Amino acid sequence: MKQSILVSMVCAALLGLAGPGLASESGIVKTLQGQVLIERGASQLQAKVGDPVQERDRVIVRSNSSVGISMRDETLLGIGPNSTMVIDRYAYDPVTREGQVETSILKGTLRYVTGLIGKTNPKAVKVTTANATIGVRGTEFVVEVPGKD
Amino acid sequence: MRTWRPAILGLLAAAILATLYYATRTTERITLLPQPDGSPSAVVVRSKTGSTAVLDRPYSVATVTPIRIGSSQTDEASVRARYKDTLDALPARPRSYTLYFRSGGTGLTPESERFLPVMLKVLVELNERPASELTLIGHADEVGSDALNDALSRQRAMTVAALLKARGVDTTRATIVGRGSRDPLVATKKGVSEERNRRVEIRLK
Repeated sequence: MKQSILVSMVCAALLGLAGPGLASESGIVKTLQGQVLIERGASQLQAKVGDPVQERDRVIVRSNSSVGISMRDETLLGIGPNSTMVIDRYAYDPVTREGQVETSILKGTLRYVTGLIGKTNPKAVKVTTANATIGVRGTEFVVEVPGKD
Repeated sequence: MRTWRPAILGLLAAAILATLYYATRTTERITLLPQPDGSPSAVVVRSKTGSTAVLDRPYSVATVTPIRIGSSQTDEASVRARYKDTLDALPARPRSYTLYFRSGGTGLTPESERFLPVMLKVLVELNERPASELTLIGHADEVGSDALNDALSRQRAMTVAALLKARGVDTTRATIVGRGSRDPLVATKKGVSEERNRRVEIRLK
């Protein structure tokens, strides 16, 4: 499988096309209002449309702000004002459409649209809150977690 | 006694308020939204204490506190009012087009040739949205070996990439995938020629 991805990347390169971004890229910021920060290790970046998000990133949405992220497997995330979301795990193989997508919403609101990983294997999708874990069966939903100051 | 009464009442009221406050401050809400195509879906909510709730009707809600899960029902208008910013933040849903191929090679079927200009017009326009991403996924039917079909499906996807590029679609960030015969549109036995499986999906998100 790895080989076939490699081959398609090489072919893409030969055609003058870029491969599927950096391997570490899990998704891309598609919509943005107000102030949104991406915390990656010790650094904190001001998010812009087009910015990549990675596994273990913490997405912090300030008041009167929101962000929309599209993951590589077409999982769609809409995150509302005063929210903090973490991408705990993300792995995706576009050839087999297998992978794992685990996120936590620590506070705020998250609209979640399951992508191709969930279509292939619903068990590979998990959303965690302080009180619960959410599993999906081909789904779209909203999660609201009250904030702790 | 007289002097104690207000104090006790006050304490009780404070306790009730604190409980209410705590409950609203810690109650999480999970609301199932309908699928855009109306197909059934469900979420399973499992609390840290081990109890479970299944949401399988649009706009059904699970309310989760550290100690229990409750359920209720809401509607589109209430969800819209409560979560407007969050709902609106969602990226545009991916668009998908399919081109079909003649057997054993990278030539388009006459129908797909005719469809091409229509598709290109939309693609060029959509591809100019900020941070758009193009994915081309090639497929093969069950004629020939897996190795051959993996290669052929990739070639089909690359053919479409070249075609789009030549017609002015920006393919610099395109991802190209060949899925061989592992994801047929129509399931067939090995060795069966099936036009609907010889295809390239063009997905734009």
